[in-house]
Amino acid sequence: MNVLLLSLMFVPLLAALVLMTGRGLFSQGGARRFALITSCITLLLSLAFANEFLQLPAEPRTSPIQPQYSIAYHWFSFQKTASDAAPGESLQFEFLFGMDRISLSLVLLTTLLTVSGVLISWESIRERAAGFYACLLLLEAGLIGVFSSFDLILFYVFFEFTLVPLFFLIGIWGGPERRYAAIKFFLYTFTGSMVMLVGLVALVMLASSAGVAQPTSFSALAQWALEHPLPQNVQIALFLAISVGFMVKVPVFPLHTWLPLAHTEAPTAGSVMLAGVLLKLGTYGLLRLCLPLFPYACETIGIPLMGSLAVAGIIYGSLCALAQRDIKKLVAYSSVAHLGFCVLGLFALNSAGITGGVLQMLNHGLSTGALFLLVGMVYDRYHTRQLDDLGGLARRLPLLTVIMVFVAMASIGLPGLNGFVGEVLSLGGMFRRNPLHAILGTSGVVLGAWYLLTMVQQAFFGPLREPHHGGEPIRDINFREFVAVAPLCALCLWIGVMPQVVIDTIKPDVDGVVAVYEEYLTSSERVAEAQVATPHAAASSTSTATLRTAATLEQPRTFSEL
Amino acid sequence: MPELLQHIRGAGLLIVPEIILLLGVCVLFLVGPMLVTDAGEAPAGLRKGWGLFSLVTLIVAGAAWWQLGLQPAEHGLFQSDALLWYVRGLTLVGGGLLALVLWNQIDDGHSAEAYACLLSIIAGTSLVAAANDLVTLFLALELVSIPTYVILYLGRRDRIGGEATLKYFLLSIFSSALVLYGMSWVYGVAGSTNFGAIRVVLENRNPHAGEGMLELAFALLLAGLCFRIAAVPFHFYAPDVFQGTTASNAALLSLIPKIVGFVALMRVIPLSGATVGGPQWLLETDAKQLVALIAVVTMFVGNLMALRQKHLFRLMAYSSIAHAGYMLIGLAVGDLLPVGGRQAILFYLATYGLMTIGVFALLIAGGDGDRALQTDDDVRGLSRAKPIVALMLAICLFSLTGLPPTAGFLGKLYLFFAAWGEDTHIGHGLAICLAINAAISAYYYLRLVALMFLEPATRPASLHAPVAWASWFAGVACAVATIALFVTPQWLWDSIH
Repeated sequence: MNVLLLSLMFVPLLAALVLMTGRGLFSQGGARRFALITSCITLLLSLAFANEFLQLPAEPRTSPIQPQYSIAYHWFSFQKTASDAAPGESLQFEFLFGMDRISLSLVLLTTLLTVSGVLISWESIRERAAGFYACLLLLEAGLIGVFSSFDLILFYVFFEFTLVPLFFLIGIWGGPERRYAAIKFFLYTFTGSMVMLVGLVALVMLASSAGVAQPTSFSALAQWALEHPLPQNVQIALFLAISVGFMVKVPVFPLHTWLPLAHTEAPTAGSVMLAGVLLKLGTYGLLRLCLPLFPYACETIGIPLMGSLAVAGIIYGSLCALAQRDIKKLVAYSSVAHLGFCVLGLFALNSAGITGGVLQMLNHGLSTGALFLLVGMVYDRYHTRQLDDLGGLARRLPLLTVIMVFVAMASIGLPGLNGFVGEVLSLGGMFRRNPLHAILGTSGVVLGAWYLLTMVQQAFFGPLREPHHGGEPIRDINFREFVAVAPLCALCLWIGVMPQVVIDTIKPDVDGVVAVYEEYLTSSERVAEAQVATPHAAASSTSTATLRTAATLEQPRTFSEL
Repeated sequence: MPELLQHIRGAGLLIVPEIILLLGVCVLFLVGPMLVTDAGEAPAGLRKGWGLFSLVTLIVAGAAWWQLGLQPAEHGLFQSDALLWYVRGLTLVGGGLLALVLWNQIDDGHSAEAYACLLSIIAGTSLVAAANDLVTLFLALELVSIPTYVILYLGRRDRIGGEATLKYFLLSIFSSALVLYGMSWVYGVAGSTNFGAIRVVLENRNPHAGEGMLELAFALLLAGLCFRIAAVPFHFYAPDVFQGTTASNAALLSLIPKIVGFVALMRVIPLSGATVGGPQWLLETDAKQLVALIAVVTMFVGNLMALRQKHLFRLMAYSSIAHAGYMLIGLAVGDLLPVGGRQAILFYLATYGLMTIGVFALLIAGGDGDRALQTDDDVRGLSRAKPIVALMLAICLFSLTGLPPTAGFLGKLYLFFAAWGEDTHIGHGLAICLAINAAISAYYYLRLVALMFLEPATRPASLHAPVAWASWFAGVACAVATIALFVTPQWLWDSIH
């Protein structure tokens, strides 16, 4: 399994290096075939890995985040020998790769979308093809790296690294404003990441001085935070610093402005990867770092702040989507809205909400990935994406229209398709926390139906309206394009019909995070009881409560006792 | 008499690599002029011969360094400790890269002198770390400065080059005078120039005797040495000098004076009484605030000024100023567990050397023949004309930004840890300023990457221009090393201890 996990990263990485160094040797056809073979091998490797992974026996949980399977290689320690250093004096980083069920599902999404990305670029990328596929594979390697890192620093390394290939993908092979879009995308996310890095460094130093043996490991950190909750102001400060990096990536409402531009200018494969997987890095990071480590901050400012920002994003994104005349931009804004549901679900901080959030990550990857693929197909045929230029395409492209309607329904959240399950769980989870957020969020579902159906109706139905396309015959979706989009549609349907399979698969890891909040609620109830129990000493009640809390905190609870 | 010989022998043994380098310098200076006619013309290809000779000398010195190993010793004028061992290795490797970069940046007629200057600068840099006496320290500093004036002039003998050299010369002399004045105050308090003797006097002195004298000494030494590392407000020479000289000299100026400056600061600051603690010293509060202030101002000035530069050497000058600011953070926070600030500086110097020499080497390799790429227009569309050079240059620039997976990221990360580990408002503030500045600097490095990769070429690539293979090799080695160092940083960090 070690070999499988490592080859998941190294196969695309090495293939990218081969493509980059030997770019003179590859013709356009050779490069794309090479990339297709590599991405298919990676997909098969990931499936093989998943197969072995799911057969692993379940181990007793000791931490909210627990890779079910991990391998570690020494990377760096600041002391020559870790053993003779006192607590707080040693600090080491590791190449700690691992996998749990949530990250596994996202890895599968990545490998699948990469194959689609290669297929959809087959004809449209003619210039510097070897470089293009090298960037795409490099991006895949980086994304798999993010999802399989269980060390904080390593996670950050991959998180940042994904910027580079996408910068080139947008900047070299993008639309007319690609340079501006690429630079804006890069600088926006890099700035957010730098703020996050300060937070991460502070967190690691805090854990290190508290004597945590591996202060950069996710599971050690989560366990430590569970047993010794951080002081409240520290939690809030760290939560804000770290979540900024992720909020830019998601993107959460006021920090989203890089996204529509980057999406619109990116080549189709770039948009697919960006929407399908890269945006999930933000929500994945929130789930991995902010939720398990800072329960107090998530409860007190996470729900009101992130919740209202998510709701604002849902409504604002939907309204913006409604106003767009460029189909790709419309889909880009719909991403802002859909990721809003995802954040809403995660910050419900209960089982239903977090399950919904994770599911929504997968759903959005599938359905928006498919939408971008279809928009790309239309663009390849007509070289326009303007709704004003297009109309009645159902007559010319019947099969494409069928798939488009299907995917739009999935994206809207039609019952029986995947979007529905994720949205219901997210909103339902949030309803128990903050009904107002959930109710306002629900309006996004209605708006989503409005803008997507309007788009479908204008572009694909009604009288035929085609831009001048140089006399080339317009052909319906071909086999290559069908292969690119069909697996995504099949998965949309499968998750819609049998969501329980996915939910059950990710359940252990979702429960791990949820347990943090159950623990948090019981401990704060204890504090409340302590305050009620001593009415005669009202003046000293606060100090008693603090003492009680301190007493409860001194007994480290193991996870299984909860 | 035998005692004196014994003494000289003991001291000489500590500096064998430098003696080898200086013997090489003698050969270059004495034999060099013989091969040149009175009109200054030399057989073509002579520079390659001298370059090879310098490389061999550096390799022999490196072998001596390796054989000598790490053996703490103290012998009158010189001392040998872990810092010397590390700095010597760093300068020898850096010197080898710089010798490759100089390969085609000097004409045949002046190549012997230029390589001689380079070797004596390398020797001087190691001697700064080896000095155990204020006098040796000053001599070592001058052994770096004086050949620098000459090599600056040799590289480019037009009016702009002359102006740059003169600017550097005057300001450098001024800074040397400041250092010397600071040293004389230390001597006035301690009554000795030997480091050990000064330390003994400082430990046992009456704290109220000579009040103010040491503070003055600290300020003067800091000011004089901040000139070398190009920290604000002693940075004004850097952009003009970088712009007015050759790429190889700019590479030299961006790395060597930084090593010299930081090592000298690490040596003399404890002697000026501005520290607390023993060998693992920390700065006193006032001194720490001063250094932190200089660090913050330097970072911001360097990065903000770099945003608008169109001339690449000028841009790199401001970038070098900004990096001096980053490294000063390590000096301000001092050696704390788990991550020592001075260790972080020394690590950063190594990574910075790779990145900055890499950039200049690749600018030479990307140019036509002997002319390096100098402006925005020169690099525009470079990825079409010279894809490998462009790719490697992008790696070096990303490393300067501090983006993983490059050594530049680790350098910044260690500074972050060192600063945050200081755990006061100063340390936290410095870490936050570092983050802000890294974000600002991303813009101008990224702009260059965008120019190379996203823009079409404006000038036709001259396919028949000879490629500067020495620089090409040095640049590619630097870029590959930044990634390799990211994967295996442990050995370098361990060698700093």
